[in-house]
Amino acid sequence: METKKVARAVILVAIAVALSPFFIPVGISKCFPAQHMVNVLSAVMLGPAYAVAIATIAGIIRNMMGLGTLLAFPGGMIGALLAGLVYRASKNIYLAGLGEVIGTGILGSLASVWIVAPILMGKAMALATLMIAFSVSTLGGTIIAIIALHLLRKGGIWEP
Amino acid sequence: MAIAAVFIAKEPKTLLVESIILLAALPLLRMGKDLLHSLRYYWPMVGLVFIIAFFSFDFKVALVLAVRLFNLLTVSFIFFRAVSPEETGDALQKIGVPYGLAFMLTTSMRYVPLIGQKIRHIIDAQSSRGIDLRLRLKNVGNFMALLMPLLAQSFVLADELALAMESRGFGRKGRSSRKHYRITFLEYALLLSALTLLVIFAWWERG
Amino acid sequence: MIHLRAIRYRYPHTGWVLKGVDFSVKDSEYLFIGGANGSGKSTLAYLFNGLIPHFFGGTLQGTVTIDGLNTLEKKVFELFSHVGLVLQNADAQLFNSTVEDEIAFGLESLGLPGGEIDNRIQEISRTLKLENLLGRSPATLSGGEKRLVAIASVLCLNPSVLVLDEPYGDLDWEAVERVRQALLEVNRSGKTVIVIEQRMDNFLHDSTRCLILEQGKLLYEGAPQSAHQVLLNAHLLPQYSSGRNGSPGKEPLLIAQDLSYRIKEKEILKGVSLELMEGETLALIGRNGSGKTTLLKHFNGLLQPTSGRVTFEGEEIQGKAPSELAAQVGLSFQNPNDQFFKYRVKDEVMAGPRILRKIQEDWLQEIWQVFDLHELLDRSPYRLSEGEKKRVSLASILATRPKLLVLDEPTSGQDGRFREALATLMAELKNRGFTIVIATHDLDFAQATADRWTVLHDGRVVGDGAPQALRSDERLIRLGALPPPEEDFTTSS
Ligand SMILES: Nc1ncnc2c1ncn2[C@@H]1O[C@H](COP(=O)(O)OP(=O)(O)OP(=O)(O)O)[C@@H](O)[C@H]1O
Ligand SMILES: Nc1ncnc2c1ncn2[C@@H]1O[C@H](COP(=O)(O)OP(=O)(O)OP(=O)(O)O)[C@@H](O)[C@H]1O
Ligand SMILES: [Mg+2]
Ligand SMILES: [Mg+2]
Repeated sequence: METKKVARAVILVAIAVALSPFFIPVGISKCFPAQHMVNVLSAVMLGPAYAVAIATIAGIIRNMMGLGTLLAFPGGMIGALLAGLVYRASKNIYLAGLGEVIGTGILGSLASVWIVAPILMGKAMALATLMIAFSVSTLGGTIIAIIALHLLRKGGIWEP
Repeated sequence: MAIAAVFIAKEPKTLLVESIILLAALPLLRMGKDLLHSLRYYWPMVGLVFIIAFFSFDFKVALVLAVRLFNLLTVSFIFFRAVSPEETGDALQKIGVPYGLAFMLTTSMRYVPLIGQKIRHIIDAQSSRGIDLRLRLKNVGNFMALLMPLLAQSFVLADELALAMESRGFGRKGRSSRKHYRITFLEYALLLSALTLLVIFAWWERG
Repeated sequence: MIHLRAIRYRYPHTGWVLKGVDFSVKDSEYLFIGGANGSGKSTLAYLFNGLIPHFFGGTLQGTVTIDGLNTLEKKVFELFSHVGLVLQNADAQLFNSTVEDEIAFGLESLGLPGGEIDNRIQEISRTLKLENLLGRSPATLSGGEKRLVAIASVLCLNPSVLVLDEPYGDLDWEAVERVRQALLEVNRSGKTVIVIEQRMDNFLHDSTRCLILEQGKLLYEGAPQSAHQVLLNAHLLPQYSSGRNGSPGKEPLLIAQDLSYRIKEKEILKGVSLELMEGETLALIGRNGSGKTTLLKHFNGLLQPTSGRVTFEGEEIQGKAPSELAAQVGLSFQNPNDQFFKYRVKDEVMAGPRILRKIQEDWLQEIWQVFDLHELLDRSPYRLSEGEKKRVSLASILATRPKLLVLDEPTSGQDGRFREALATLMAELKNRGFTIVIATHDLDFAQATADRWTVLHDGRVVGDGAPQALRSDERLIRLGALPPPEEDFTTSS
């Protein structure tokens, strides 16, 4: 059983990395959904521990290949953990998605802001703007993951 | 190497523009081109932080913040470029990370190109029957036509990979390891210079 | 020695897949196991090394013993030094970053010391002639080389039995020969070799015994020579009807002029010219890597030539997006799974026409009928058999009603029955006026379906004309573009 999970994790990491250059243009900003989508998928399919491992390893590889920045870490890992915990407790993919959005969009971006610019922590306005900016990709990725989970279930590829 | 990174990560405490010169000199040695390439992942964040800081504080703070963020990203970039996945996997194992994790790191590197190839095949196959998958806003609705075949095939691939791992003894207790990575002279030199820089900056900061 | 006694097996959510299989494999035997898609061949392979039941679960009745060990009582890793399994999918089998690491993986699992591992790697790479590949990444190897490395990675564990699931899949005749010789060598060294294949070719006759599986039961067990008739009767060797009719039109539909294509420094197509007449069926023949797929991708704008041009119905297609051309040129790739994204077959087939806003009810009705899809319309495409998947993917290409139908390796992974059915289907499409191009190295299929062959070799057209004449062309055979004539105990009429 363990082997199967490790193998799935390996492939999910590869997907997160290989899809990471894909973006959806949203106005002037871009939505990079891959990492967040994989967060939700792995949280739902493999649980919180694997989800965090996948986010971390995908972060390392993306950095190695020049497909991402240091900010991939706090962003990805917290969301993956929260989504995994929420799904384990609730068995509900929407709540798992919410976990990812809160984890990455709020906690993850707080952590990122703390690394990037501690003095902004005091400024509510500035903080909010940065957090929204950090969240575009999260929201996109989460929505995609939830649609994908639905289709996978209907197609008989995945069962909860 | 990992230790060096942790040290370096503290480094941007210094509000010194000079650091950019030092850091820019390093990539010129070997990685200048690659850095330019991944700059496109940097500038949105750097630009954003600059703008926000500019509006909430003033130009000077904004500039300092932007430069600092840039330095941070560059340092991490150099670090990650300098290590190979096998080394990282090996190092992780040495500091007690379970074999499974180290295995995931090295093995998923192997599958990134394969998945990339699958993505290209899917895009080709779908556009051959009229489903446009180029990165345009109007094609957003077609994104599932890329994602679903990819996920479906990936799960099959994962199951087959699990078979292959299992039939070659993955998960058996008492593995041996054939290779041992030694820290090379160059890496010692890098480590040393990083430490020196760190000390200098820390001292500068105090003064 | 392997003994299978009264084996019945089913996967967790299926019906019985093996329905009472009984046989033994003697030491140093060379056993060939054939059968149609889904007949249970791979399932049998998983039984040999204990993956069934330990990995798959499900229900197993009967006993499997290997060298006196009951697989039910042993773990997979206690068996893997007795039975080595080379899987169907080489990309899954090779999961390390270099060939050397690949071979070392199993040895490390056994916990051997470093020096011993190095010795074994040396030894195995000498036997299989892989010395110059050791540092390469598996991703960069050719199909035949991948097979050999997969064999090495298992053989180095020194098992007494080597099981190979479709080792010849998707290989051209040259690569087949290389793998085949390696297997004969392994067998000569005293090991039992079990080859599982659905392609029935010359290599059937390497074996000392042959089993044919049909829907989870043994259809035949005995000498390979007398298997031939059984295979023909069961249509596992395709029997193509030779009566082709209709003469191609005079108008050229597609013209490729002096196409060259280069990636980085590598020249893949070197001045290819080709004229395709309306209503004709053309086969592109060539070895692995000769540039067939690359050429096809120029027909609908997926690739832009470095120099040269392609015209379709007199109009240059340069600069048009493939999705725009889809209503004229339908290109179907080897792997049907690259397409499926809906959860109903019907939606899947209609996806293209919907996006192109070109839905013609009567044409769809014809498609359901020609491809015999009425029964499948509400099923999930992911859950179909390989042959059904292929049919659905072909239907989804034709749904936009293109004039030109281009098929890349349509018979890959398909059994004799499907190939026969596909040949009939292509004749039907031809009668309806479609122009068809297929790229393949399945020469018998190409001969049965195509009016004309164009032979590619190393990015150049080296032959063009009637299949019969080309197949006996000394020059092409010497060049290595076509295989030498086969001995007469194989192949269909
Ligand atoms: N992991 C699995 N879970 C459930 N059913 C399976 C699984 N693997 C195979 N089957 C089913 O068992 C049957 C036999 O499959 P098997 O893979 O053994 O056939 P095969 O002879 O190897 O076919 P092919 O030539 O296509 O490889 C098929 O109906 C298949 O759908
Ligand atoms: N994107 C690419 N990058 C680098 N090399 C490539 C690429 N695509 C094809 N090639 C190379 O071009 C050559 C021709 O490839 P192509 O896929 O056209 O061959 P083919 O005749 O279709 O082979 P097969 O029978 O294996 O399908 C091969 O040597 C291949 O390695
Ligand atoms: Mg099989
Ligand atoms: Mg090809």
